[in-house]
Amino acid sequence: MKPAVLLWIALIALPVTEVALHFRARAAVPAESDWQRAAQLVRSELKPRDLIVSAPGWTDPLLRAVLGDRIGPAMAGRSDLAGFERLWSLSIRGARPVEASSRAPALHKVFGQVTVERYELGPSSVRSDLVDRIASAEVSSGSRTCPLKRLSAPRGGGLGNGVLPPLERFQCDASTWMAEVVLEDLSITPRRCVFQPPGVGAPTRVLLRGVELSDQLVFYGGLYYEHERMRQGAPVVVTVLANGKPIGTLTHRDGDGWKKLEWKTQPGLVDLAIEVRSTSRKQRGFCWAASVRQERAQ
Amino acid sequence: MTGKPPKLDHAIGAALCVAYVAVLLATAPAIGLSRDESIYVGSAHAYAGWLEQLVRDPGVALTQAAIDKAWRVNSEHPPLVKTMFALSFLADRELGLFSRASLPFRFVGMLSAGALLWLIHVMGARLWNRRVGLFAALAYALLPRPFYHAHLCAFDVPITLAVTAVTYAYLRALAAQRWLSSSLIACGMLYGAALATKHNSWVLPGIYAIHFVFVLLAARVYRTKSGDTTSTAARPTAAFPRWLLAMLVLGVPVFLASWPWLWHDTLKRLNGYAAFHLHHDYYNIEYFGVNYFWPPFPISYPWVMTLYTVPLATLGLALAGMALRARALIGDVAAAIRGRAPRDPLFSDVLFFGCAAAPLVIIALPSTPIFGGTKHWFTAYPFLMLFAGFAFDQAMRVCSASIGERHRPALPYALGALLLAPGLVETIHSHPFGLSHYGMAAGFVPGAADRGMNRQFWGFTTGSLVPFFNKHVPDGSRVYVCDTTIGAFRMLAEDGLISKRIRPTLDLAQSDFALVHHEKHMAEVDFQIWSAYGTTKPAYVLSYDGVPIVSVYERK
Repeated sequence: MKPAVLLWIALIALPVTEVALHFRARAAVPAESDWQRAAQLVRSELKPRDLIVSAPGWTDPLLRAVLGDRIGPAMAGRSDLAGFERLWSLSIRGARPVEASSRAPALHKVFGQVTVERYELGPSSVRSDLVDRIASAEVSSGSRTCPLKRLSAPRGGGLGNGVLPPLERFQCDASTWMAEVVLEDLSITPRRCVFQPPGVGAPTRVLLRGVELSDQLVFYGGLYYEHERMRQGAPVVVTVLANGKPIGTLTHRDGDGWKKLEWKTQPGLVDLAIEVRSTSRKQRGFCWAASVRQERAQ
Repeated sequence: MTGKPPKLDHAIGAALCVAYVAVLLATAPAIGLSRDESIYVGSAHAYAGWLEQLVRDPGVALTQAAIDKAWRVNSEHPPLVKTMFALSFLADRELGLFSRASLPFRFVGMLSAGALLWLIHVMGARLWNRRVGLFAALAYALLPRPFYHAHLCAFDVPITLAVTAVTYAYLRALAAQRWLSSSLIACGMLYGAALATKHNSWVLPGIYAIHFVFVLLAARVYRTKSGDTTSTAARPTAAFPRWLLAMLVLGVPVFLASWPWLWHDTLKRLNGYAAFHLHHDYYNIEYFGVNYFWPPFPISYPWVMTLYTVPLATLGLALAGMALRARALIGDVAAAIRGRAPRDPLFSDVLFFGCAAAPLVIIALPSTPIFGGTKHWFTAYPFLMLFAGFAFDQAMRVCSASIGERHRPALPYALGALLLAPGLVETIHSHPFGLSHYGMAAGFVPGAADRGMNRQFWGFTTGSLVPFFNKHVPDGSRVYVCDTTIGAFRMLAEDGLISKRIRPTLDLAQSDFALVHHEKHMAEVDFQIWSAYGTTKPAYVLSYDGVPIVSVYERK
């Protein structure tokens, strides 16, 4: 082929392709009504222990705009899938939710540019979520008790401020409090957890009385993103005790992110204590989530 | 580079300038004030006050106390453009030139953008031909990201104009025969203006020095091989770097004179200014899904972002133009080595390659902060567009030879329009989401979101929420403004776009409505709102091509 012909082809093909693909991409953008209709289906069939996600992940605000009233902090800030039995996915652009893994969908419907799929996850292994019980905990920092108080709304918030103290929290002193929050972890993922900064010397302590253990305790812990990302902070050590006897220890070093540990436990009623300590309190916004689980049958 | 460009080229340049400024003025209200703009508006107010005092009572205005009070404001950036914002503001106050409060400030940036098109056209026309200049100027006008920045009262477009102008003046100064030539004076004065505009100008003498040494060495080789010692090819420029002297003798005084902040404690304050930029804070930027906030930063960043944000047809032409000019450059070097006169004894290609590559290379250094998206290497784009214009011109020559004579006059218009069509379509569609826009190489806006590319910065997209504010936010409401500054939000009211009784706040916990600008590192604000408002459901999600840009929450 002559060079002039090739040049002609290139000069025409490139801009024409670019403009054509531009309009094609715009035409593939889902209408708001597509999201609404997809949400309507999910809403009509939603059951307890259903998880709702979207794919790709950046569509999450669009998902919450149509189904946010059914997506509480526990769902949005989940540590894993163990608490859920079915998975609803609203997806666009052919994306597949990471939570679906290699499962095949039990339901597949298309609303314009939005695809709704439902996946069966199997029976939940979670017997109780310890974060749910935090309001009834006994909390202390060293020898100081931290009473649960309903305080006036905090001030501030915004970038770099970490977690916002909730109205209801265990207040130890002017600067130390513990409560259920949604934390931004090292992977910039929301984590619903119990905010429990470490004590230096003596630990901070959350005591949950009358916890019915099963055969497994799954514990997650991590720090606020900006406290962990420079990898300069002191390790945080968590000890979990049942009736005063240690059942497991988690040492969290910067860079570990949302760290998971699983401990075998003896079924029975116990007083469960979570003690958190470090050699420094500087930028140690530690948070944990834990649940009592029954291992799924193999 | 000798002689003056035809008046027609200046007329074309002026027409481009006027048309572009008109488009920018018409489209500006849709773009909310950005963080940095709001800071510069504050600076301009302070400087305007001092300028008025200077006229009213120079004795007081020139005291260190008065100077420090006014010029301490934003003293980490040089003053020229902010002083022009101040003058524009004062002119508007006296003459009522503009319909909106933000426009006197932004007009300076718009005028810089228009003047830049004029300059690009004249440079292209003078270096090669009118077709090159016109195509290059239009190609620059139709770059989505520069189009966004062209609206702003910021430094990035003015410094692009300044760098291009200094480079043009430097090239002309090299060719000047006399010591006190107008081009040499222009080179020095313009360099002073560039220094007083932004610190990008610091690297220019280095680029020019490399080019200058190249020109001298090539001339020496040619003289040795040819025995010619008198022609332009043998002595294309004076062996003494007059341009450097002009930059020192004229440029530095212009810089110092323009900045009252430096009139006292000069060395200390110069050090402070340099230190601010040499040890600049690192901010967050998302790139391929990773939130970068600390060095080392990815070397690929400026190259990939250029690929992702410049229309591919334009970028393809620019690369083709570089390849063609590289071939011409090699030919000229080979000619000099063989003792034949090079076609361009000033080797302007070396200079243009340097100006096109240096800004990207600097940002590619792993230690250079990368928070500013593409704007930090805008100074490369006029040169890239000149290369694109050259490639277009060469393509027209080849193509016109392959068609009938009857169709030849229409060919440049038809193919020019076709090649600029992607830029036109994408630039129109990018408005007012310029910083969120990505082109075909990224898979457009949703493709860039899939790849985890930064979606915006500076909080300017709050301006796109005006219809929501007017419909859903009652007077007296407190709106947490996230990445938008209080000043930028208030400008929406001053511009008459929203009620003045909507109150911006940085106190999320006490707000009635809360915004989250979707950047990766802003996620924590989302989570804080979930806690403070007791819901994860936004009342509204502003999106662009289906990609979330801002979520708005309402406290129930």
